[in-house]
Amino acid sequence: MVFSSFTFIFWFLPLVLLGYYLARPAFQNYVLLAASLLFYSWGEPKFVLVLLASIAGNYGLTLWIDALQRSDRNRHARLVLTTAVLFNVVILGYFKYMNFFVDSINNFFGTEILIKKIALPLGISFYTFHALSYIFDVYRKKVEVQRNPVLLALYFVIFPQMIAGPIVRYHLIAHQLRERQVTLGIFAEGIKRFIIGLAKKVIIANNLGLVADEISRLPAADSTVALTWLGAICYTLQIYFDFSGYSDMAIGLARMFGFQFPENFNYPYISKSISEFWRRWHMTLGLWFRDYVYIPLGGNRVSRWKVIRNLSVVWALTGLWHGAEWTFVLWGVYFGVIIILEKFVLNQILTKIWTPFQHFYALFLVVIGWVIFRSESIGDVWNDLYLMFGAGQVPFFDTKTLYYLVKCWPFALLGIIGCVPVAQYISKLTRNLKDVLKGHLVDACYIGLFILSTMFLVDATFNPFIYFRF
Amino acid sequence: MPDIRNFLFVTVFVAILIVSGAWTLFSEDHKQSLVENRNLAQMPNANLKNLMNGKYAADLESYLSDQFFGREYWLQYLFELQAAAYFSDISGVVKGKENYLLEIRMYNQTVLSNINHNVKMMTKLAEIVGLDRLYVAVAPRQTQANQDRLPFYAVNNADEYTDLYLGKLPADISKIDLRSVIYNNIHADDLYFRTDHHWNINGTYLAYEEILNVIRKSFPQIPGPYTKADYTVSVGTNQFYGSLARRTRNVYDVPPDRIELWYPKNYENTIITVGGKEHPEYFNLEILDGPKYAGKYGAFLGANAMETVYTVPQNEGLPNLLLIGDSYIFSFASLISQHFHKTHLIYLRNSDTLNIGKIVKDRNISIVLILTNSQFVIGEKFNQIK
Repeated sequence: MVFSSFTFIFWFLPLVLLGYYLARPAFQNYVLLAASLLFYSWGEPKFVLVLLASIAGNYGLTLWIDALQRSDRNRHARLVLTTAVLFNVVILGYFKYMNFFVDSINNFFGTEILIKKIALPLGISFYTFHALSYIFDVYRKKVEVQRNPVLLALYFVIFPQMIAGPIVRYHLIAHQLRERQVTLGIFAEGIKRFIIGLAKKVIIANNLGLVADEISRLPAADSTVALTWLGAICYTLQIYFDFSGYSDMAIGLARMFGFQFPENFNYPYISKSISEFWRRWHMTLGLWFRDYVYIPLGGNRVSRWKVIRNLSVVWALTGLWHGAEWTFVLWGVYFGVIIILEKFVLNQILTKIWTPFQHFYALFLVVIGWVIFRSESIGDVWNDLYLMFGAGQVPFFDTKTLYYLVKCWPFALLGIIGCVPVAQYISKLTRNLKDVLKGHLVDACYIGLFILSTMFLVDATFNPFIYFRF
Repeated sequence: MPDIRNFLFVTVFVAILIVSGAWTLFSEDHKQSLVENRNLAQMPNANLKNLMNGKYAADLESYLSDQFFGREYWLQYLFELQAAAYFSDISGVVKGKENYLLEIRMYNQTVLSNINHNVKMMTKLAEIVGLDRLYVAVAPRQTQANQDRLPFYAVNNADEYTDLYLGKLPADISKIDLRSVIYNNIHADDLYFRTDHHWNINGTYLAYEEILNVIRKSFPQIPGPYTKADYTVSVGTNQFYGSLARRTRNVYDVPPDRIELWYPKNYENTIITVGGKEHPEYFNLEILDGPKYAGKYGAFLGANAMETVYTVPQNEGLPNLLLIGDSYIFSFASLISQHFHKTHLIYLRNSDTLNIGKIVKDRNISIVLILTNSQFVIGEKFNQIK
C-alpha cells in the first residue's frame, strides 16, 4: 500500500487512527503492529512470511548475543553476531541480488546457469538495515536487548517507515516503543507534515515524472539536446519530491502516533559540493553507512589510502544497496570517486570560487548522477550522456522540446521553489500578520493543499513511487 | 489559543477523511461515467486468490478512485484550476485558434511497430480479397488537419508517419490519401467538429466524393457522387459537445457544435440493420436528445454493432461494398451507401479478428474499402486478418 493512495488515505488511515486512539494505552502497540502487518501484506501477502522469519531470527539471535555477553563469553557473542549479520545478508542477498549475481556470472563467463526470477519483497532493503542496526546496537551495548517480541516486531514493521524509510536506527526509537506522548499540537504537526509530503508527491513529483517518462521513452532519433536535459532535470526534481515527499509523509504519520523519526532530507539541491549533497540527501542512509561501515573500517583516522579504501567500500555498497544492477554500481562509484576527489583535492579549490559556481558544480554533477541512476543499462547511460552533450546527430531544440517545456513549467517552477528553504522567507514576509490570524490562515492553506492533492489524485493515472523498488 | 486552533485543524482533517471514506463506501456506486465515456470500476470480489495475488488490492484502489465521492466535481474544479493557471493542456487537449479543441499527439519511432503490423495486415488483406477490389483510404484526424490552428507550442507530426505508412504499403494496392482534398479545403468550410475528434458532414462529403471517383474508375457502373442539392439537410442538434469537450469538461468554454444530418434522395427506401436488427430511421435520432456529453456523433449508425448493413433496393444489380474502419466510417456510410446495393459496415473496435475471406464470400462483396483516420494506422494495431 502506498501513502498516496485512496485506500490508504481514506480507509486505512482513519480506521487505524480510530482503532489506535480508542484502544487502551496498553493495547495501542498491538493495534499498530496489526495495522502494520496488514499494511505490509496488502497486495503482496506471501512476503509477510519472509518478514516474520527475519523478525523471529533477529529476536532469537540478539537474545543469544545478550546472554553470551552477560556471561562474559565475548568470543562466542562475536560468533553469534557474525551469524546474525550473515542471516540478514543472506536473506537480502537471496531476494535482491541472486538474479543479478547469476546473470553477471553468465555474462562474464559465458555460462548458462538458469534460475527462476526471484521477486523482491517490498521494503527488504529498509527492514534489513533496521535489523542490522539493532543487532550492532545490542552487540555494542548501546541499547538494551528487546525482550518483548511485540515491541521488536513493531520496530521492524511500523508502517510509516517500513517500506521506504527513513532508516530509523534502533537506539533512536527504543524508548519511544514503550513510551510516547501525543498532544493535539503534535498530532496537528504530524498532519501538516503528511499533507506537505502528499502534495510534494502527487502535485510535483507525479506531474514532472510524467514528462520525464515521456521524454525518456523517446527514441534517440526523435530527441534533441535540450529535450534530454529537460528530461534529466525533470527526473532530478521528480526523485527529490517523490522520495522526500514520502519521507515527509512517513515522519508526519509517525508523529500522529507519537513517534519522532529522524529527518531524511535537508534541501539537498542547495548544496555547494557533492560531499555536502550527500550530507543532505537520504541522510538516514548516509548515517547508517557512517556508523556501521565507515567508522568500523577506521573512518578518517587512518592513512590516506585506507580512507580511500573505506570511502570506496561505502560507495560501492551505497550503489548496490539501491539496486542489483551494474548501473547502480556505476552510480555509487561515480559519487565515490567525486567524494574522494573533493576530500583530497577539489574542496580546497571549490571553497575559493564564486558561490553560484559552487552550486552549479554540485547540481550539474547531481543531474548527471541521476542520469546514471535512471538508466536501465550501462549502454543507455552512454547513449543519454552522448545526446546531452551534443554528440548525437540530433538538433539542439525543436517544437517538441518547446511543448514539453510549456507542459512542465508550472510544476518545475513549484519544484525549483520547493528546493530552497522557502518557508523561512515566507515566515519573514508574514511576520507582521497577527499571530492568531496567521495561524488560522496557515491551517486553512494546509487543508486547501490537502484538497488540491486529493483532486490531483482523483485525476492520477500515474502514481509510481521510485524508492519502492529498493 | 493554540489548543483551540489545533483542535479545529485536527477535527477538520479527520472529518474530511472519515466523511470522504464513508460517503464513498455507503453511497450508491456509479456504473458508467458519461463524461469519460467508460465503465467505472466496481467493488472487487474478495476471494482468497485475488487477495493473495494482489489483484484485490489493485482493483480496490481503482474502485475507490472511480467511485470517490464527488469525483466529477473534483475533476471539474481541477481542470478549471489548470485552465486558469494557463496549463499547456487539459488531459492532452489544447484550445486552438477559432475555438478548436485539439489533441496533443506527438508520435515517435516507437509507432514503427504499429505501422509495420498494419502494413502486414493490409498486404494480407490484398492477398485474400485481390488487388482489383481493395481500396485503402486514410483520412487526416481532426488535429492533423488543423495543425495551423494549434497554439505556438504544440505540434502534430502525424503527416510524417502517415507518409511512412502509405509509402510502406505495397505499390499495387489502390491507396487513397485524403489529406490533399481535406487540406485544400480546410479553411473554406468547417470540415471537422470543433469539440470532437471526428470530421463533420462537410469533411465526410469531400472524402465521399474523392473515394467514389477513384472507385468509379474501375467500376464505372456505379453512379457518380451526389451534389449537395441531392440531400435534404436537417439540423440534428446545435448542442453537440464532442469527445474533446468531454475530456476537458469544456473548461475552455468552447461553444457547442452542430450536427447536420444529410438525408439523401429516396433515403426512405433504404433498409438498415444494426447487428442484424432493423433500424427504423436513417440516423439514430434518439441519441441527439441525450445529456450534454452524450456521444451524439453516434447519430451516424455503426457504433453499436460489429456489422451494420445498408440495403438500397433500387440499386439491385450494383456491386456490394464492404466498408471496414474506425468511427470515421459512420458518417461516411450514410453518404456512400446510396451508390451500392448493399453496404456492409464493419466497425473495427467491435471485433478482434476478421475472417475476411468468409465475409467477402458470404456477402457477395465486390469492393472492399478500408477507411480509417491516421491515428488508427499510426498509433494502433489493425485487427488480425484471417
